Amino acid sequence: MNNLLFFKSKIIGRYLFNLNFRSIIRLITYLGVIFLFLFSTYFVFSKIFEFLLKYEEIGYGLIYRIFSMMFSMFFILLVMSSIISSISTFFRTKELEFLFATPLKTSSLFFVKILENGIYASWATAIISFPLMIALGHTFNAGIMFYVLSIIDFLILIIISTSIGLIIVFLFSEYFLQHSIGGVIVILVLILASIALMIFFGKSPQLFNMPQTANLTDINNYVSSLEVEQFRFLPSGLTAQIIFNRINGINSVNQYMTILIYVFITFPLIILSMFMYRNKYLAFGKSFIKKTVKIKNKMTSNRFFKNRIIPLLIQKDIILFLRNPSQWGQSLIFLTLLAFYIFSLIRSPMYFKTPFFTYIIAFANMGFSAYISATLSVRFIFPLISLEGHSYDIIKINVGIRDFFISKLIFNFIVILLLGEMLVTGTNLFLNLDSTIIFISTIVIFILSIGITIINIGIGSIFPEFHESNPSKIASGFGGIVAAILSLTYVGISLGLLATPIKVYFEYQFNGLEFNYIYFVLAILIILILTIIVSVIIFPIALNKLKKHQV
Amino acid sequence: MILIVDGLTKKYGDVIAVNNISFNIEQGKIFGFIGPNGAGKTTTIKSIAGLISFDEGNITVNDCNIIKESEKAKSVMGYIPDTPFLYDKLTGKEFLYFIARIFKMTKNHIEKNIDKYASLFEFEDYMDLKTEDYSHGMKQRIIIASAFIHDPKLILIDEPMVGLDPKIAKIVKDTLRKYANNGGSVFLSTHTLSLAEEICDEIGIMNKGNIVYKGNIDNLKDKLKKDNLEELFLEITKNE
Repeated sequence: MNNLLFFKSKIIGRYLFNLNFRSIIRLITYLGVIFLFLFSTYFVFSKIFEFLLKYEEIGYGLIYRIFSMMFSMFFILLVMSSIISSISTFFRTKELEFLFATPLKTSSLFFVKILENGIYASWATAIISFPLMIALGHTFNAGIMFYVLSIIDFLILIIISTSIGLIIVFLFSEYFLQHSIGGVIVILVLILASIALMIFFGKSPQLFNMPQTANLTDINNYVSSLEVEQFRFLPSGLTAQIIFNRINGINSVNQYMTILIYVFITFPLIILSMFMYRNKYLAFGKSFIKKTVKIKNKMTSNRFFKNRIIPLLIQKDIILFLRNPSQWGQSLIFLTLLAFYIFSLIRSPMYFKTPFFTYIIAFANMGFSAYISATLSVRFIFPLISLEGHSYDIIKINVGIRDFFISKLIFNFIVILLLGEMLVTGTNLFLNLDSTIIFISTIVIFILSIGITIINIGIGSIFPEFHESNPSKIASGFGGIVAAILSLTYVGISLGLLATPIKVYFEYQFNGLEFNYIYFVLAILIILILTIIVSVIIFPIALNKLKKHQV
Repeated sequence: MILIVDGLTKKYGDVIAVNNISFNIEQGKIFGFIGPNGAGKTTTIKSIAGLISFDEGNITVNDCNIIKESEKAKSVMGYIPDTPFLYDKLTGKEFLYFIARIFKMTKNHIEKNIDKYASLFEFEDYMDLKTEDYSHGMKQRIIIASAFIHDPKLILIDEPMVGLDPKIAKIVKDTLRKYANNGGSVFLSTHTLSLAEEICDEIGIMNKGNIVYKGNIDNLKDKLKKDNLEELFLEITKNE
């Protein structure tokens, strides 16, 4: 086991500290982004907590409620991530097949893989949770031991949550093996999303929802409801209670005992479920893909497009995407999170009806939609050129490079446009924003979708990794980082250009003055010119690189 | 007997991939397992390697049951899969070290064997490069070396010559023969009939989950009055 851990850490070290130009740039960018993210998360939560603490009656309760709800969300995220990452850690991996052919002890292999799965499933949540806990400690002037112990508490939460995810996977492995991996992901995401929706919208509707015209009884009820623990018997609720008790100097023996019960239940269960699986199926690799199903030919000619190349390439891309569960499985998770975002906006409209909030939310919503489009593009669109893999040679020989490039642009532009417009227009309609804002948002998202698609397909063509088949790895490589920086900068500049006209528009509306729409026209025109400049620079370089690439 | 396969049956749902097959491999022998695509060769080799469970039968490696005493059985085996797996961020040498340490070899022994196989399979100059920079053939050489590194008693190989240039292919054949002459045993699954004809002491021809012939190639030639294995193979598998 020590050997395995030693070599694993060496491999991870090689990924991180590979001393060539690209890797150094990648490492610096990673560190920069992570630091920025950690600091800004800490900064935002600190400001929120400090602001709330000024309101003596409700401040503390609100902080507690926000904190415990965040932990509930972390718990759901950790369980879901554990399930999803276990598919690649335990099932869709050639490594386990290779290792099981050696005389390594099954228990050692399981231990290393559980550890690996835990790290994969939890690092993203940890990045958000650590600054949250630091912000809390800072707000209440906690000592150094608070931070150390809170981090240990959170690590225990990670262990319990990721173990629960694994137990679910292994207890239902019989079902998993009889269905395609795609079907399994859909069922899991649907079940977990339904549970999460029931919990969030069924159990705690009062949060942030106090009427603006509340009487004293309403306020008293609201205040007394704030300090009720959220899901107090779930590991997340217990961890939140322990951390808060530490701030108040209260002993958490009961909560620790309950957490220990979780640990004592989950560990034997995880070992038991894995050994039951192991006894039945022996090894793990490719276990999911035993079932072979005959599929009706979907590559037949389309009577509208006849034998045109671009529609044919788009058809191929759609079929490949739909038959690759790791791709659309992750899309499904993103869509579920977006659904949460939309529902949250719909559920909490009280404060947003004031003119000030209306415009703040409208602008933030547009920014968020553009940011989401840019992020999703880096994850899903950027890797598409690389994912052609060895078939790129066939495409290069038989299809014009320009047709190939344009096919990628058209299809992905449509997808990203639909997503962005649905997000921005849908939420704007729910928020009852005025038609000018809805129109402006629609136009801006349309232009940004063009720019984002060109940047990601273009940079994907300039820095392809044809030998890598994992889209997540492609997206986190050097080219992915370049695409992310360019996409986010492009979106940031565009939103910056719109900020002043929207502010002026709001001020005029607020004061009942007539607004000159030339501000909007000018801003949109500049965004359009920026998009054209980006396209004119990237397009020829990408085509030229595509012609030169060899797999 | 180093390997005893007795009544092995493996089903995938309603499909019988391997149907009640039995064979043995003696010490110092090379057993060639040949058959068309989908015959059940890979299922058989993975069952022997302890990678997949089976529905009926027994597999014994060096007197150890592959299910009940799997770690002990695997400690005397070297497995070369059809598609090589390597950690792409490790160098070839590190990968060999990793395998050798799994088999609890001493440092001196590891160094000695790495030098021996690096020289034999001609990858000394590539040993300190990361395996992500290797060609398919170079990866295959490392994988073959990794199967030999701990001096196993039985080697399982699924399609050994894929991606190897003629010179290295010849070296691999010679190495397998020499290994068998020194008492090692080889279970070799292949499509390459000439390879089986050249180095195997015994063959098993598999078709649709059944062993349709098992024995010496020369006996089969005499029996069916054919001169080469290709004709024999086509003759045997056409009626199944």
